[in-house]
Amino acid sequence: MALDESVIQERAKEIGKLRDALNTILYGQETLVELTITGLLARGHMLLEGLPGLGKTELVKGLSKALQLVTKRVQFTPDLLPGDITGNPVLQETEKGREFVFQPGPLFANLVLADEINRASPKTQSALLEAMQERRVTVLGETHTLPHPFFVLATQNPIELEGTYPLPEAQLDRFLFKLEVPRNNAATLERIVSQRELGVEPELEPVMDGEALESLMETVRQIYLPDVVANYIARLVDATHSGQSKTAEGIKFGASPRAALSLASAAKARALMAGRINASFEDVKSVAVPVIQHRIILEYNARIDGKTNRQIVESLIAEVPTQDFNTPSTLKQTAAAATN
Amino acid sequence: MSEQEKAARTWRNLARRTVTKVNFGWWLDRFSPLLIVSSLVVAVIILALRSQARPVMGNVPLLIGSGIFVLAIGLIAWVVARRRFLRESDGLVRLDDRLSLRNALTTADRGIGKWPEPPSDFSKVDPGLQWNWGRVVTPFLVAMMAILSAALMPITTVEAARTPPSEPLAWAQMEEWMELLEEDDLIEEQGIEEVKEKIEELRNQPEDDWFSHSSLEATDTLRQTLQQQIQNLGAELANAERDLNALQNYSSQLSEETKDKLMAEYDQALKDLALNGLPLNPELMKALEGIDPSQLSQAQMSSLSKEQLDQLRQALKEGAQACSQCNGQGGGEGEGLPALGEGDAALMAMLKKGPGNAGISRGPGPAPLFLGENETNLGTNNIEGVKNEDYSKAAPGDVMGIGQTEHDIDETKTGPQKAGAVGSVGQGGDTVWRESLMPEEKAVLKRYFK
Repeated sequence: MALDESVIQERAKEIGKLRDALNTILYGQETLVELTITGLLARGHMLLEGLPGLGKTELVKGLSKALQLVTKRVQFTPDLLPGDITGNPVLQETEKGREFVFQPGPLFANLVLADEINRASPKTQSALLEAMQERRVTVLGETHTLPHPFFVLATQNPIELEGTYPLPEAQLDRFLFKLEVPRNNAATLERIVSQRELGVEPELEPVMDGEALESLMETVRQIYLPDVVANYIARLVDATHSGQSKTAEGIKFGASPRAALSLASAAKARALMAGRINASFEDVKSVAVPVIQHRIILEYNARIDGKTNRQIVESLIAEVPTQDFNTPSTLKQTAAAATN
Repeated sequence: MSEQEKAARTWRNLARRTVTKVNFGWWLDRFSPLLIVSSLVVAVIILALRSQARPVMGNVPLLIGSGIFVLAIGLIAWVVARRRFLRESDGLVRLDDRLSLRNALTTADRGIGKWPEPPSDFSKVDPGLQWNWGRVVTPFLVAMMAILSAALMPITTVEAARTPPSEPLAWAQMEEWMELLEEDDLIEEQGIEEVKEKIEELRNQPEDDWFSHSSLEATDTLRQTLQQQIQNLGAELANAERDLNALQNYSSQLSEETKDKLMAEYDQALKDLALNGLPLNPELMKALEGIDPSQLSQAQMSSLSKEQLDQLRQALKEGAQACSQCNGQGGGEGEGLPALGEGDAALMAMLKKGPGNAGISRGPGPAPLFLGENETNLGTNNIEGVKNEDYSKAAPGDVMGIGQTEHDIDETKTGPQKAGAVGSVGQGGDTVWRESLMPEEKAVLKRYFK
């Protein structure tokens, strides 16, 4: 179905309102807010990584309020069991007599904040797999569908790794984005100090409801992805594999096809946020780091040399050209580009 | 035309311009090495022509050939480069990327979005491609230098050692006849020149045509005609000499009837000599015509003395002998060339040196076939065993050997063992350092902890 550019502009304005609302409760984290909204529109789960107190939980709460979504928070601990998050059958007295009745767990919400997800045991972490991918849970052979929309926003602390269970690659691959929450600079801190009180949650007016969010997500699916952009995504993901690019020498295992799908979806969401009818190379580049960085495993030598996943992905972006054609030796490319 | 159509046309033109530039660049990229190689080939050809003193400047076939050659390599370069040629849509992508249009052109080209407003000044639209003049110009300069060097470089002309082709034997033979007749001063000079001109005319044909069918036929006709004329000349001269001899020396013993017959024969011989294709020497003819055969016996009545008459008869006799020599019937006094029949015989003898030298119409033919007794004992009734001792080449299923053996079973008694026991020395610390790390990993670690 062809999209009307005026409709796209209208949707972009709605998203802009959400962005503005979140920026009023989370100071100095414009990029994080931008990417979080992108992730939501792309129907993806997100893994937030940052030191305590940087506003991760605040962001989720703000989303909950602005979108009027049912939000639940689970603090992951080593003794947390799968049933604690999926729900358990409970023996109850009913009209038919005693029988097991499924008691939904905290996963039955629109927005689930999985706080410090790496502190839960692998068994509990795995219980999230089906929920995140299939958007349903199975307990005692009975499958229960999760509500729509359904997002998992997990957090993990990059320090204090003693006694934690690093997320396995299969689990990480389920997250659309891995977002790093940066610390605030002095000016932002001053603004927070002057405008916030400890223990008092900021007020936020609802911007849209879950239905409107679903509509926006549907619009994202209709954004046009040009063939050349799809080709660029394919080449970028392929370049993460050993032997496919110079940068890949530092990569032990490359990104999966799910990474390519995630890139395409996120690029479309970025296009909608910018009020455009089509995704572009720039959209892909802007979401490549959060999409790919947690999906690659670096070589030992690369880690010893101090390289990070982010640096590797940035290097990939610089290495892989947007256009898949070479220039003859009789021509040379100039660096500066004119703008219209 | 709407604004959108104008914009579409403008952007498409810009894309085409970009694509043309890139495609031409690819063509040049493939054409340049071919041009250099071709120019070297042309340079070698020019040097070869110059070494044979053939003209190069203004050599129209060379110029046309070179032009066609350049066109051909241009076509080859186009075919090779075509695989890398861009399309108009690629040009739009290029503009999208360079002008940061966020793929608006690509999208509009698919009819999904609107065309962005084109720039007012096209010169500001930079597709980010500039000519690499060094790579573009160098091949042309190299090619030009190679050709100019070959054309202008001073070289020594080498005369080709050409072996003169052998000409048909009949020409030389006819010339020998003419020289022989000329030496005896028997034939009018003009007649000899005419025959020589005809031979020269045949010789002036292109050398490739000397042995063509028409040339050989003309040669043969000329030779046969000439041979016939010489033969007739010789015969008439002999007749005239015989008649004169009889009338001069034996007139008293002849009857009147015989004299009349001899005189008639003499007159007829003179007439035939006058009508012959090879005209007789005018002086000799005049002398012969000045003789009155009826008065030969009366010396006082003749215009010639007896000595003069004898000399004349001797000249006729020698002329007749010369003609017969030309026809291969001579012998004794003259050194005439062998007649063509004898030459053919010599040629045949030469060709008959052995079998296999046959031609289509000459020679001894193919080598004779030799028939022998057929072998009757083919050994088909003998039974012979075939052994295959080389087992490396044994076919699947061949029995290599049969023996008896037993399974090698370790029957040592062992007690119950605990499951899950591991025999490894474990990992960590020095074990890891010694057994797990690769040398390059050790080097990295050493460098890191230094």
